[in-house]
Amino acid sequence: MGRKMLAAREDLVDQVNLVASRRGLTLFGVTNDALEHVLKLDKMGVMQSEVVREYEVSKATRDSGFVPIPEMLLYEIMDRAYVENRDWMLKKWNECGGWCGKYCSVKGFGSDLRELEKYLKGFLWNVNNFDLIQGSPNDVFVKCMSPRFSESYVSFLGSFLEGLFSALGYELAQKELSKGILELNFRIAKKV
Amino acid sequence: MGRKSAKDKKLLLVPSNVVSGLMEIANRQGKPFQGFVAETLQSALEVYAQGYSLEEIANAFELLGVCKSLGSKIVSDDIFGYLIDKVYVTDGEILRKKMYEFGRLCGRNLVSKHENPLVELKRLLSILGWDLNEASATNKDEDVEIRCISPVLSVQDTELLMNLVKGLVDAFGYGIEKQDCIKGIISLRCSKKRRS
Repeated sequence: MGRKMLAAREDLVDQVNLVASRRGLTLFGVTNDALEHVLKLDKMGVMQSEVVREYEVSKATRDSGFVPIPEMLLYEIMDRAYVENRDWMLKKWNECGGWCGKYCSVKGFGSDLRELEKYLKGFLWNVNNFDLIQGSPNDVFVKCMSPRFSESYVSFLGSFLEGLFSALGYELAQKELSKGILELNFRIAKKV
Repeated sequence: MGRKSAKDKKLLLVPSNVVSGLMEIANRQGKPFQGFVAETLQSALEVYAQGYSLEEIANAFELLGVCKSLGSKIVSDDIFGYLIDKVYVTDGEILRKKMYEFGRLCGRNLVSKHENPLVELKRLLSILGWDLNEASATNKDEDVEIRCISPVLSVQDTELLMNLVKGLVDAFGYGIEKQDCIKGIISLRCSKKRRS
């Protein structure tokens, strides 16, 4: 196998060298591991930065006590709970959202709408249409659409978001929920 | 000795095929090669700094992609546990079937990507939120023995997990020869299905 010399920024090479010695590896080994993964990910059609970002988001959701559940299983049991224990479930989702809002706040991305959107997209990972839109300086609009959302899921998700934004200092100004569509308007809560 | 500036360069020894592969990607993305290499190393350093490895991240990304493409939803574990408690008594059989079906779909997806998908079992279960003390697939002669252990799993959770694993191994081309399932412990002995 032929080898070539590759010029890279000295500060980065020094840091890689540090990682290598900390892990008991060679500079050659660590550098190649990093660069070969770029090639592997490229074959999968993704960029390394995208993969790292996705991993961080999924880790944040896992750290928040969330797990991926098969949709076919979830809708079955949620529809049942919606009929039998609607209020309890709405309260529970609201509390859950409140906890996540606090988590965002502690992690320092509660006030940055773009970062918050990225975090929330971790929860709604297979939804193409999810947007947080800054209206006036005090208003945030949440729009989420998916033909696969059941009526119960939209209600629970709405309640989750209400809890989350409430923990971030917003109050609900307007709400439109229907099967597959969720539109919410939050406004910065007035201090009493 | 003066301070190092970001413009100072050092030489790294890299296999030629990796260099040409990187050049191709940089060209495709319209980025200068040096900048692309710096970006790549920087991103790798961020990963190492958080205590992960690039392999771990690439594998997780792939498995998350499987869950995503099969339509999993991210839900609070607490809420899911409550829902299962509520519904399991009356509709446990339906839930077990759905879990089995989900396992089969995941398994078929993994089979198309991996030569030995059983290796991915523990990683997949961890991605799916099953925090197990042990998840192993061991070859015993021509059979495979699968064990999943977690003392915190409820009876319902254990049964659902067993159906998920059974769905996975079915898609991997194994039949169940023997199964044991008690609260927190699953043991399956599987053998390769013969093609008729």
